[in-house]
Amino acid sequence: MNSDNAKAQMRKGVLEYCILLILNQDDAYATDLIKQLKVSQMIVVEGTLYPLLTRQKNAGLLSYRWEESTQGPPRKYYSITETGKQFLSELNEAWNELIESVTSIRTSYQNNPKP
Amino acid sequence: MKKTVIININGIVFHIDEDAYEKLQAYLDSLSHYFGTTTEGREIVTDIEARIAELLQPKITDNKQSVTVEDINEILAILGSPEDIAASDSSAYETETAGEATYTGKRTSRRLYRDVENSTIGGVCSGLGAYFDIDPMVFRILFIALLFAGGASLVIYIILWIVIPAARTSAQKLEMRGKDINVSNIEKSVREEFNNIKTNMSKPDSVANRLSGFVQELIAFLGVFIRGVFNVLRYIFGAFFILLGIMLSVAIIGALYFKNFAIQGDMNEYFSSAQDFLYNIISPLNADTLLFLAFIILALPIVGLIYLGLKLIIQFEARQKWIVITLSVIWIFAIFSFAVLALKEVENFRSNNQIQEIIPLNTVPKGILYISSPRTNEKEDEFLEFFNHSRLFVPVKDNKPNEFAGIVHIDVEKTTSATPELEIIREARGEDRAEALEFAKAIKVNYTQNDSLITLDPFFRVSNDKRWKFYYTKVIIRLPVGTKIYFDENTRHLLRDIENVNEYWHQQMVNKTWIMTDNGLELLGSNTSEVRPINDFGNKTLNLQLRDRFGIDRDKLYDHNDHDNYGNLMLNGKKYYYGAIDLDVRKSESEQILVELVKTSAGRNSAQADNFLREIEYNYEQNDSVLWLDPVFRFPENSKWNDQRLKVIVRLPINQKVYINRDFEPLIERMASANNKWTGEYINNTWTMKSEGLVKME
Repeated sequence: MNSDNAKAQMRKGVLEYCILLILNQDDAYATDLIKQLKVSQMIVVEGTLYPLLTRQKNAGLLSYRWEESTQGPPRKYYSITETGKQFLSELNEAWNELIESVTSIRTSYQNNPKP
Repeated sequence: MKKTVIININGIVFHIDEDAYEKLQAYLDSLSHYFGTTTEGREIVTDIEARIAELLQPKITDNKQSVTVEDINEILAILGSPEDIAASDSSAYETETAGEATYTGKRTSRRLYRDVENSTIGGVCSGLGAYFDIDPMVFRILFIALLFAGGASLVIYIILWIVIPAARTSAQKLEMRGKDINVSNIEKSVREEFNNIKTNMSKPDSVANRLSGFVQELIAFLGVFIRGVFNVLRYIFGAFFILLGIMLSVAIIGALYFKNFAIQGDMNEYFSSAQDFLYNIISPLNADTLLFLAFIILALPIVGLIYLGLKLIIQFEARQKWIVITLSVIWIFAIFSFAVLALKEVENFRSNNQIQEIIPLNTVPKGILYISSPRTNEKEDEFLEFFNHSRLFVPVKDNKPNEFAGIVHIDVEKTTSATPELEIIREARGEDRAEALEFAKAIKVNYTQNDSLITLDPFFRVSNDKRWKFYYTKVIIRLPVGTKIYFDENTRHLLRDIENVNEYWHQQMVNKTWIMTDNGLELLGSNTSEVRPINDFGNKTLNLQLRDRFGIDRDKLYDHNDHDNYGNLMLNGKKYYYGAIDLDVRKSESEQILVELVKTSAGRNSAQADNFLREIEYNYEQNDSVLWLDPVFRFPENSKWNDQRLKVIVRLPINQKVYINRDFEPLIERMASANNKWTGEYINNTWTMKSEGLVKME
């Protein structure tokens, strides 16, 4: 097990959370999402995003609409639904709990390292 | 120069290089296979396609009109490989997608599918082969073998064809072979499939394909069907050729080199192998050379047959041309050599010559000449019966190791000399007549005379220090008119085709006394002839009808008419034997219609034969112009069978008409053959007696 793989696994777990976070601020189409996620180094390859979006949409967390584009064919704009917002708040709490847990473990480990 | 393809992605048209197109196509196929064909799966792929179109757009400039493979590589790197995408695909929503087995990516178990891509008929055998990881040929041969066992495999095959699903998707094909269903395997499989299609079709024209989809399906089905029928025939013929070839080669080797191979049953003790036989005729070296050449001449076509059979079944590639040419040359050479060598050997037997001796049997007066022979065993009897007249040598139980034995042929003829004679003819073949004569002299015919008893060895002997020279021997017993002769039981198989007035065949001649007459050899005490006129019925047609008083099966009359078969019947509480009559219609010397009964019987002596003749009974009845004839004559049980016969001759004056009922058909065979007619011609017709014989009325 190398560290890259571990990182990828960690990112994978929180990617859905990040998507909901971004869409909670403003509606976006896939390419916008990709740009933001790439900047924050949440994704390495773009393809990984699409299955997640579709599955979240089918789970009722997201909805989409078609918007005309000046540069080409119409684009699919995703927005967060009420269910999505509720789900997000649950995730927010879960995230905070997770951070606390991880932090407490890290702190106790740093204070009492094994010889 | 590069070929480009026009594609439409998400409503945007691109010119794309062929290699780039293939790469992109493989990528999308692999994604489709992973995400499946559900609405959700299609949506994901469509979204990714849209992104591809978006990424492709900036690649097209005024200077660069078409998408290159480098562009595609770059875009695919951005999007990530199907495996990367799959790895990040969350399992959070698995509850909703549980029905989609393809998403789990963990299944490694094998399933039985029909391998329609490598099918011969329905892909059952290739599927079984894939499942068990065995060459499908094993299953095919098994099915064909079972086809000969009552066709069971045909039914099994059809059931399996119906029951087992075909492996159509990549996942199914992988499952069939037992490979892990993961994205990289699917991609590999898809790529292989795509390459297959690419090599098969020079032009990947999609629109026309889609439009004519149904027609193509239909044609494809017909194609598969015809190919299936053809393949079945191919296997059947292939298997048949191989089996036939193997059977023929076993038979040839057996017949050429092994004793007792060719003939089944009791006779085979008398047959040596072709090799043994040739050793007795020509030198062993030449014999073996001839056999070897014969083997090549016979075996090569069989090898060809087996080769053809194998080729039909397995369809392998071989450097056929050179093999065929080489073998053909060898074959023709073998035929040529065989012919030359055989002809050279035949030269040694070109001439035939014989020695003829006549030995008077002085001591026999006018009494009976008894002919006997040493008792032969059953095998020897069979050989005598089957190979009389032949020039073969035979293994005989009392034969010395340095002797050949051949069969003596016995005949009886009339002589003008005052006493009986034995005429002994010995023959042999050689390079010239002088040599043949020398060989013939070596033949020893053995007989002893003790008063009137002549005991003849049925086998002549010749030393085997020389090879067999196709020796032949005939002993003719020449009798003056009036001489009587008796053949005892032991001579049963020695007599053959001896002409006699009574037309007895050889086995019937034994145990009887015969007398030489001016007409030839005749059974002693044979004939009595009773002639009776019938009542005048005016100028009408004589109507011959059969009266079946004893209820004898019509078909049986054919057997009885052979004079070798008697039936029995009860009459007034007394048991009788009966035999079928012979009917003949002949000219009458008088003005009346006569019925002549010619009775014949054998016997130990003429007194006994006369006695048997008297006991033969026969009835007929006249009713105006109708003459009712019994189909059979009869004799009392205590007369035993002594070749009793009865000929009923109806004698007609000139111009008398006669009608012969169809029931007489079994009884007129001798009349018909004497007049060169067939029995069916006489019956159901009216005839007129003319001076030249019976003439049919039109």
